[in-house]
Amino acid sequence: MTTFIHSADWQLGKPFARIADEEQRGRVQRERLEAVRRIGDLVRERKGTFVVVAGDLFDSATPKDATISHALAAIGSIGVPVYAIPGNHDHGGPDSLWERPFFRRQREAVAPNFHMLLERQPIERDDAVILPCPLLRRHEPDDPTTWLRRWEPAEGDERPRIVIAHGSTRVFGGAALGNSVDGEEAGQANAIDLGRLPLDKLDYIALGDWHGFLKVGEKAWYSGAHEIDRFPKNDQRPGHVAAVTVSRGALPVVEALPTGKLRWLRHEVTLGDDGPGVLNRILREATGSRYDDCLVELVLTGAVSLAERSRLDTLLDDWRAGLVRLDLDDSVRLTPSEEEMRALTERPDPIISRVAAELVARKDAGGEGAAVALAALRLLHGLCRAAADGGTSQPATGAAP
Amino acid sequence: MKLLDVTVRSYRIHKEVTVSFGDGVTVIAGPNESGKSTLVEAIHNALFLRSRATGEVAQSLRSAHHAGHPSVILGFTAGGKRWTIEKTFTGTSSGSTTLKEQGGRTRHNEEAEEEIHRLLQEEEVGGGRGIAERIRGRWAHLWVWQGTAGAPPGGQGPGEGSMEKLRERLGRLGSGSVLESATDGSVARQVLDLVAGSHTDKGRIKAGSELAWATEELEAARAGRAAAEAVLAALDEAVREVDAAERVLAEGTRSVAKIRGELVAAEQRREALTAVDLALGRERVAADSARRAHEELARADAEIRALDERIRAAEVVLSPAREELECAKAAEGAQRARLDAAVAGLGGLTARQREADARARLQALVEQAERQAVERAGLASRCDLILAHRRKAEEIRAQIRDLPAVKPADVETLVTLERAVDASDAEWRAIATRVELIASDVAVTLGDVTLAPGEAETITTGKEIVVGGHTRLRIVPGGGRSLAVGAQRLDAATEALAARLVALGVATIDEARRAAAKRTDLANDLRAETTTVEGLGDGKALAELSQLDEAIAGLDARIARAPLEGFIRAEGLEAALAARREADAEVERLAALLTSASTDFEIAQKLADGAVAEHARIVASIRSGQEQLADLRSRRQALVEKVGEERGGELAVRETARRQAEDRLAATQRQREALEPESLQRDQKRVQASLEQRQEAMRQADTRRQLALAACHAAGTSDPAEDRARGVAREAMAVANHARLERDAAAARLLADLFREKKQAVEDRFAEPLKARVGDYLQRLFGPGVKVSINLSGEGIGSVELTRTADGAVPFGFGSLSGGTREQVGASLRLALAEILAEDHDGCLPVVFDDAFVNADPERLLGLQRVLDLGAQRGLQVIVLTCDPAAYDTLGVKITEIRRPKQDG
Repeated sequence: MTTFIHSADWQLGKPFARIADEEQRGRVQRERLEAVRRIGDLVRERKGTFVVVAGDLFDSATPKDATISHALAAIGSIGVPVYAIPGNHDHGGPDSLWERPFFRRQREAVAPNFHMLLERQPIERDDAVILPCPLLRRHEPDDPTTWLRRWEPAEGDERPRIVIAHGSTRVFGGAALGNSVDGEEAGQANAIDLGRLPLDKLDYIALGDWHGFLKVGEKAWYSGAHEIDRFPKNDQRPGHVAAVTVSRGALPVVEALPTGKLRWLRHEVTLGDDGPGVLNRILREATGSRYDDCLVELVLTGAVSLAERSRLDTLLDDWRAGLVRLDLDDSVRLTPSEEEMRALTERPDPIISRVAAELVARKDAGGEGAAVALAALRLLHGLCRAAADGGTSQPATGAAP
Repeated sequence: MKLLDVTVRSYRIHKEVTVSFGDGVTVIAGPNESGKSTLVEAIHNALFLRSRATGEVAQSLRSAHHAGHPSVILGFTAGGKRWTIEKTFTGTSSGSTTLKEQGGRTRHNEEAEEEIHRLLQEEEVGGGRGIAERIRGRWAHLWVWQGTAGAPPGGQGPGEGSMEKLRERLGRLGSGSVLESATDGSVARQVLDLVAGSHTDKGRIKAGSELAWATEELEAARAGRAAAEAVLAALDEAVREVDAAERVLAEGTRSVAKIRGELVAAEQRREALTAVDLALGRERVAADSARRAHEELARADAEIRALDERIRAAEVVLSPAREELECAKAAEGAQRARLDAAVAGLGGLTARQREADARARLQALVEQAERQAVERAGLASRCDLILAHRRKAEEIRAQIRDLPAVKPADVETLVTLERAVDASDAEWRAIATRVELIASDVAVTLGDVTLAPGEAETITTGKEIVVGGHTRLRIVPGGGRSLAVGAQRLDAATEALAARLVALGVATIDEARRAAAKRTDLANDLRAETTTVEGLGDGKALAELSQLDEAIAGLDARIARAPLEGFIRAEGLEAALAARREADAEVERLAALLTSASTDFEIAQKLADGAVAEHARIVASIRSGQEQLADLRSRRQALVEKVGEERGGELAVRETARRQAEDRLAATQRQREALEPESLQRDQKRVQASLEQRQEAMRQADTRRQLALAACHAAGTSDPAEDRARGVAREAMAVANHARLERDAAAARLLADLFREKKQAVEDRFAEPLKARVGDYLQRLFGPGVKVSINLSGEGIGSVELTRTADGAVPFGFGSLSGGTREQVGASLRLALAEILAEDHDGCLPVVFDDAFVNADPERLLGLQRVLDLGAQRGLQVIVLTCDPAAYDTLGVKITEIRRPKQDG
């Protein structure tokens, strides 16, 4: 009986370029390294003898030396042997980072327990036979597990046999299942056909590429990414590793253990008569006290008045400051209320009232001028309010779309 | 508010003057320097200048002529009450102000000043720098100071504070609202500030603005993303390069193995070919040898046969040749004889020709000698003539030598000297006394000389005249010393003449003249002789003669030496000429004969040569035939000795052997061709080249692979994929930010435009009441066709434009009006303004025109009076100050006159 940890898709060095704040971006990147260290804790806790990582350790095939160095330090801290294969993000081949002299030097110095498996041939351990299916090219045209169809185990070898592979899988000839988010290639090229593997000769298939924890066969699991790296689109369970106990000829025992720390939340809120206050409630409930560990994707619809728009902007600014990331899809319509329009068009100030009336007319006329007219109306509203406040506060000139 | 009366004391030129003002129009007339403007200023100061004002403004009010502090007492109505202001300006803080309210209390100084301001609804003017201008600006719209009537009314529209009042009034009259609220103004300013923050006046994005920054950032982000993508593309390219190079290497390895196989096959073919070539060499030698053996025998056989044939033919040819030989011998002898005869003939003729040539030459010499003899004779006679003339010239020269050497110039000298003698004599005689005895009975003696009657005597020294014996007279010539001098000169002249004659060898002047003439004639004769001699050739002719003699002697000697026998020299030129011609003819005749003989000789020579040659040929032919026959026979003998007479069997054996060897050779050659030796070499070359190409391609691919790999691994400090992701995100943010700022800027600009537009519209509406009133006045001036447009600005009246039907309805500005019209339009505008403002002043305000219509002609003046009259009708108090009261006669008002004040002291 052998126990090990199965992880994948660390995608270290992922830029998270859409996080504008430098500090927060660094935090999200660091958390992925911290999560690797947490795997070491789990290994010790579960008394695992090794770790397999099913591809995409790095986000790119050309990571910075610093990224490599930090990654190797984290891997070194795990303590037990770590067996990994290159995935589509950090594929092998002569041009790969694995051939980079810096990587080789650093691995030897910092993480001698790290074994990057770049050949499709068995690795013999005392407690297991590891069958790596590395992706050796950026665009691997074939199923990387094909070699296993012809593989013959040694007669009477009772060590459990563990396959490591990366790619989408065809389940019963159906549609490919794999990581196809963020517009990356759909994984069709290197799709793994589980049905054609000699499953009776194998005991566990450790898969990478799909970012959620997922069982795709009696012996096949995706562990998912160890730390979440995107807003959830469907019923995934990211932020886990698989603790696997396996014996020759028996079905594996697989348990999902949480390793992730950051929370990636997604909310769709429609603003209406209640104004922006509802949004505040929803976010407060969702994030709790640890909003500083949260990344929120917010889809806003509905309509607000001029004054509500200002309040909404302030509210969004506040949340933007507190969250690790606020990804805003703001489709809120700006609809000045009757009172607001009257307040502008029926002012005692002869010029402002006439300008406001003209803007309202243009807004109502629609067409190209309507958007500018609406923005101008909003600006005018802000200026008038500021004037009414004694000119102490500068009006918002449009902090949001 | 209405002015009632004013009294001015000790104020500049005024000692004291009082003027009352009527309700409607008041005309105050006075000549220049009568103090009209000072009076107007005094009223204005009573209203607006504090009595305790110090400094230049207050000091300037003092009178230079009148004692006491300047003071003004002004009566007026305001707020329904009657008031009197009395101000005394001391130029110090001791000035005083009192304000009396009729039927009310009297206020003093500060309180009085404040109340005055309240009544006039004007702010306190303050003090300090620029006070003069500020004071003058008060009620400037009502107060036309002298010289300002033609200025555009916009520039001096309602003064400080009055514009606001005007607006208020206009607002109340028009829409019942105000022109622009404070919030309007402040918001509009903020909008303009916003626009100015992002755009320049010309609508360009302002450098350094947030929008400019966002635009730059957008461009930078786009460039950054493109750069990141380029790096990534380069990396992709490097990866593709590695893949491609590896494919080339793999394919190359396979290909090289195949090519090597082809090379081995080719090598085997080459070895087989070498073996065949060896066999071929051997067989070629064998075949050659068999062929040579056969051919050798066959050739000898054929040769013997041919020799037999030729021997027979040679024998046939040889016999007729011997007969031919005899004939040729005879022909040769005949031709030789003929040739000898021709040679002899030719020799004789040649000798004769030589002799004839010599004779002809000799005759030519004779002829030449004769010609020269003739020429000598001519020359000799000329030489005689020359000698004769020479002698003659010599004779003339001798004659010239015998003559006295007198030249014409000498004659001239002598004549001059003679004249000098004559002159001296005459002079002397003139001084001397002449004594002439005319008649006497007694003897008369002069000195030693007795004078006869009719005889005269000249005396030069004192002499005694004795008449008879008793009478003795002494006569002494006058002239004193002159007489002696004259005598000396005469002597000297006479001596000079004589000396000259002696020198020339002549006795008299006449003789000298004759000698000179003779000398001249002889010289002419000598010149004639000399010319003749020269004309005859003189010395040259003599030299020629001697040369000719020498030549003739030389020719004679040559003729005498001639060795010709029987030669008789012809005498005379004629004979010599004939003899030479004869000799020449002989030479020609002989030359013709010689030519003919030469031809004969050449023919004979040729015939002889031909005969000799024919003879020689036949001899040679016979000899050759014999030699050939001998040769043929010996050669046949040699061949027969070599191969024997019987050869048929051996020939057949050798032919068979030859055929067999040749067949074997042909078979081996076919075998060689089957191995395709040419293509083998080509194939080997081709395969070798292909191998090299492949290997080179692999080397290159390997280099490319290494380079591409180096490029792949060059990363380290940055991750191109990450850079691209960041570039994309940065661009997206920049696009969004830029769009937001652009939209905000557009919104701000839209607001700014609308503010401008609406403000203009409101102002246009506000100007309506003013327009209507100005229009009323202008109609009085220009008739009903006139229209006016007035633009109010924040500071005052922005612009005024008129449209007159008479001018084709083209609007024109105030500035384009003539001076007179400007004054009138200005007056209309002021009256209209006053009318509107008067509503806060009990419906009345004073409007003062100080000499304001200096450019008005009589016709205009009439219109102007209508305008002023309308103002008065509408309740205004119109005060006109003029130095031309007659112009306002028809206004129907009382004209108050002030006189030029008398000055104290």
